[in-house]
Amino acid sequence: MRLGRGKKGVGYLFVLPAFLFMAVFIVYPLVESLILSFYSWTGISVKTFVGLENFRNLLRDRVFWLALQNNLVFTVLSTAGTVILGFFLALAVERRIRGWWFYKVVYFLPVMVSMTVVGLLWGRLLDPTLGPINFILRKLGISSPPFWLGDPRTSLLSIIGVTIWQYAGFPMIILLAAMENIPLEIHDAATIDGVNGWQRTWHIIFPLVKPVFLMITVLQIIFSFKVFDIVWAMTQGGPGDSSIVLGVYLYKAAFRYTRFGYGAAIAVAMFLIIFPLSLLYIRLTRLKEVVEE
Amino acid sequence: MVGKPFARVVTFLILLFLVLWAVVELFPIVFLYMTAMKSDEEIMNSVLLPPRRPTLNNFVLAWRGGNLGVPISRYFLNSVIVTSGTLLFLTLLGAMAGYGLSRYFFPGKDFLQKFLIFALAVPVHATLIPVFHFLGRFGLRNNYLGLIFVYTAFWLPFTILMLYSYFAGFPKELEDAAKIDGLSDLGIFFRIVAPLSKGALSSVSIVNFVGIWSELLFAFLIMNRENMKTITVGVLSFRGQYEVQWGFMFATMAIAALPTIVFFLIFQRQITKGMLLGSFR
Amino acid sequence: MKKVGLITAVCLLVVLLLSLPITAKTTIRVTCIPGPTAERLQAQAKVFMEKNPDIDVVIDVAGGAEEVYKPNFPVIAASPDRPDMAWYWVDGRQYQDLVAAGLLEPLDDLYESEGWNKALPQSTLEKYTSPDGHKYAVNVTVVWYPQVYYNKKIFQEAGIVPPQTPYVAYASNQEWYDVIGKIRSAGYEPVSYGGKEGWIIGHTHDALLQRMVPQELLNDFYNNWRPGWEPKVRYTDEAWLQVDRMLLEWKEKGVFAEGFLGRSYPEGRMLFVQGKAAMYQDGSWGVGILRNEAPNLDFGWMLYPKIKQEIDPKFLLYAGNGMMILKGTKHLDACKEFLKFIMSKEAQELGFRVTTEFPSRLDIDTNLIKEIADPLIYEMWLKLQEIGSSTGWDDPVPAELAERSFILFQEMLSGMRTPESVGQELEAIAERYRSGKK
Repeated sequence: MRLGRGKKGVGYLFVLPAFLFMAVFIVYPLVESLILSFYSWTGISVKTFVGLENFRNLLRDRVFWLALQNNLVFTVLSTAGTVILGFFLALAVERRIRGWWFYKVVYFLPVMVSMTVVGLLWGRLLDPTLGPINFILRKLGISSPPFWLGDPRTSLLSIIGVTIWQYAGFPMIILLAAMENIPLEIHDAATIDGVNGWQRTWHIIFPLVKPVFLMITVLQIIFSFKVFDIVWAMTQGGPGDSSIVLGVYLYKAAFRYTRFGYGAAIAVAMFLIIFPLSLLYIRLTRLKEVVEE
Repeated sequence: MVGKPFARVVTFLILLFLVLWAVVELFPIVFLYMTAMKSDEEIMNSVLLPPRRPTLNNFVLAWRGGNLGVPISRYFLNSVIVTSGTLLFLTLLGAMAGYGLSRYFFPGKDFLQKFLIFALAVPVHATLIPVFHFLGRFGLRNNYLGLIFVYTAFWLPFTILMLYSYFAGFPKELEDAAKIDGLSDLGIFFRIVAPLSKGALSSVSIVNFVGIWSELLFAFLIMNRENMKTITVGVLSFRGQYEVQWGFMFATMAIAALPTIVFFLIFQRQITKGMLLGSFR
Repeated sequence: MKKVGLITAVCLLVVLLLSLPITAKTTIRVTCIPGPTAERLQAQAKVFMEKNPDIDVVIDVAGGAEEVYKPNFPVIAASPDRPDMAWYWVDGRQYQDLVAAGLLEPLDDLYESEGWNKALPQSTLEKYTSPDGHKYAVNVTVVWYPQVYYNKKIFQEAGIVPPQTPYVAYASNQEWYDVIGKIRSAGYEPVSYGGKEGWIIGHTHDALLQRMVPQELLNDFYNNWRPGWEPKVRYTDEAWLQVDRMLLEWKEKGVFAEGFLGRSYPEGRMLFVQGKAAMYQDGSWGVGILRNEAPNLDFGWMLYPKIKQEIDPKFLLYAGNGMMILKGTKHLDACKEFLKFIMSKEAQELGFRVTTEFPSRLDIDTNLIKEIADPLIYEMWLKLQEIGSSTGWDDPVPAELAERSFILFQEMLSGMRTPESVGQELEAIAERYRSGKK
């Protein structure tokens, strides 16, 4: 890196506006959240200090644990679904079969549609009486197809299914790029050695893309814990609390039940879960090194 | 190597897999646009078939607005304003910060770098409640600037990082030459470096675009007045009143989804490249 | 660089300008929920503006009632971007917080000068008097719920006779089950509504509550969450649990349409509109909506059946539709003028013509009502005078208690929870409020 140049002050001039923004709109609210979590507040009139009461209640809160559990289920299933499916899609596209470029575009397209629209659209598609999915199922002979979003047993799974539908393309793109980065020489050497397709996949491609695999998995995990849009658009956490997740519970506690202090406690809990994961991700992708150069 | 016929079977299976999944991926989107172009009776009676008499009625109705509601054209405008405002601020502040970090040494730089990592890792939900009240206190709710500021702050860490690594690789000879010519530091940045970096700057904007356009949670809370909603929030709010009018609903969703789809089709390469760069959503 | 700088500056200026509020003449902003309320206010505003050309009334319609407006409004009322006036629910929930926080203008002077003290019923006046003795809102319309609207053709087809009792409801649960059975045999769904929005299940529960619990205990349920209250009865007691069990029994006996828990409010209605369901539950406001959505449907109304022999079914009256003026408005006089107008006989009649929500004033000419009102509304209103009314439980209780109950009912009806555990959870929340904490 070049030696410092110009008056030191100029450096500040360049970076300060941005960092000021982040300080005001990220750090300050974060600190406020923490402080607020020690209070009880309805949003109007005064705040009452309650110490660790909110956290104690949180630990005893059945809905909180349910939301956490749902987040975990969501994480495991959607991450596995998108990454594994993405991997196979990448493998298939990498083969350069006729029209591969078309498939690549089609698979990535849903990623570009906002989750809200995807959620609303699938809400219609899965409508038990009027939606095309059940229409098709009925034509196939299933007399009473599931209620999908209206049945507490299938609500969360339906949302997860839709998430996989939307996001399988994302790991695909990343893994595809990683696969394409594998030097041709390695493939050629393998061909000479008489390696068949199966072995090629598992003994050559997979080990070489493993680091990317790991990175993508952690990313999906982080996303799964933050999820709000798609759950809100499809079920809003219902029926009952069957598909509630932390983000939705945070919103409901704060803005529906007007317990802002409690909502802040949930926010703190979310922070404690997600922040370490994000740091892990940053370390894995060596973004840290970019910065520390 | 195993015999040719086996290889052909495998190829066929792979093709089958690709085609099947393509159908699954495309069906909902095709259904969306097909249904949006059907009249309400056609929707009730022929669920799966393409419209016999495709009509743009629903789109017109949606664009101009339902009985009581604000027209979707207004929501669209709001989204355009908020997104472009945000991208503007992001580009300006992000480029300056990224450049500054890559070129200068000053006390506290280390701290700022760590701060950047910290900000990147923070889940923004944790700031939801205070931001809501904070903006309210300064009258920035239901105000374009309020949402723009919030979005700018949230997308800055990623943007700065991307531009930081970009500027780190930017040839310094041009800047040296400019320095010799007597340009000030700011001048060097705005007159020489920035114009030449248009590619990278637009790449970053392109990658950020979809996320900003489709953001729900904060837009939902901050822009709750009808005439200020962004299109993502607007489409969601139609659910309550117009839910049973499928044609209308589908048209609104179709309109809402169009910009990002078109955007993707045009800027495909840059988006996928950008996604790879940061692998961050 | 200069060009970029100029463009940036212009863009920022444009954005800034768009962010500034545009003020010309006296403009008062009134927020309300969508639907009949908004329609009514807009019609009244139009007439008002013709009479007062120097005042501009902007009706700001929220995106949703229960979802958006109800929880958001109190917070907005407490912040700088508050409106001048608002429509809001006056009940035990968020309204009390608004008053306690001093966010509303007292209207006692208007009650006197405009004669509202005489034109409104005593129960309403009491409801609208806050603990400090002042009134901070005024009741504009009354609604009653839950009604059961039925498809006359389906009833005929299935050989069912509408209830003949003086309280327009079947005389026993058994009779009710028989009717349900006949409807199902004829191939139709009985009662359809959108259970996804829990509040409507709450209405069914409220009806059952009135029919199974004597009024004194009912009064206790309305109030026993208050800090320091000595409860006569608790949610864990048989008095409450029997109602939960009855709701569950109804579900199990097939009273509700298949899949009703997954349907939204409009979706639930659609089944009735399309003639697939024989009955639809909604409030009195439902008549107007049905007339809009199903102009050719011939439907009648009834109340849910008598459950216990010693308790007669009653209407549940909701007088919580209130208009209020927010403190800190710069146009207090203009607001008061508009409020006076809304409550005037002229505006109330206009509102009644536009929607089917009943005027709150008692002194509207009965013949006029007969003339304007939808025949069903008129019928219901006459019956209401005859058999009397009570209050729904979800009206006076705190928001959290009511909202939670809706979710608990949903869970109970989908088999995920026992009635006993519903009672336990509600009691826990009530206890928390009783002890003064939140």
